[in-house]
Amino acid sequence: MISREQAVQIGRLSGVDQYIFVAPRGNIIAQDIQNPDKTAELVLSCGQNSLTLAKNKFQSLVFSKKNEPFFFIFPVGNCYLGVIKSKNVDAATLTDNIINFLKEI
Amino acid sequence: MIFFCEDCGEKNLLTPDQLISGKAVFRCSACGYMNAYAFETDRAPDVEPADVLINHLKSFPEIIGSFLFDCTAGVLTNYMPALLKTRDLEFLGKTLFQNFSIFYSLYPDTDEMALIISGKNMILKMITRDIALIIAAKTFPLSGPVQDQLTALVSMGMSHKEPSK
Repeated sequence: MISREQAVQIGRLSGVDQYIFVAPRGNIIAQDIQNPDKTAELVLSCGQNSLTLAKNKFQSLVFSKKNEPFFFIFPVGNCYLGVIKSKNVDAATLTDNIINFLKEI
Repeated sequence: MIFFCEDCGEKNLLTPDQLISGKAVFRCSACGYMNAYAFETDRAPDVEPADVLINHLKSFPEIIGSFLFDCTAGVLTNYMPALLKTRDLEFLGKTLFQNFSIFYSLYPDTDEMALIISGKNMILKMITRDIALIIAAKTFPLSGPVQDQLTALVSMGMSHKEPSK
């Protein structure tokens, strides 16, 4: 499982506005996000549902408004990472940054 | 939605603004006859105009397939590859819809969700309060022309998008 020290580094990545790391039982490993408790439930439920559908091919779950992606959920081992994108960064850049970071830890 | 001319029998594709108070009002594209006749409403106005656009989505190379999913009635219209059985689509639709509803409860301005899987993407676009279009696509985000089609679909007088819990 990812450590808290590793998890907080997500907040320093380019394109990350807010983030939350959620453990398999729903406890928050690290966060810098509004409404952390409700967001943790949401990230865990959506992450687990997506894993049910996609199994080990699950890469991310992306929510958009007006054709603009803004919220991302990534599986990280058996944990889930929720990220709100900064407005000045495109979705592909953010995704690349997150995936590269996760590969390194 | 397709309507037949009462005079010559030609098929005419109508837009929602040509369906007035339960009547199809249009001039036949083939013979010019002015038609104005009543039709069954039921659920059809929600689904059938959408069906025309959904059918057109198949012509875009990035689209693998799509289906309309109603949170209570299940699969309404199916343009997915034949190897997927109805029960597979029911499970897929139900799980994606559930995901969207959970997220929507905290972020109510959300209108689209994409599940990114190796090699393909499952995109859910809310069409009405209870109906979502689910698209299997090779790419995400979708290209401009496909997004235009989806915008047209959503704007077909289907403005209330809050999903059922």
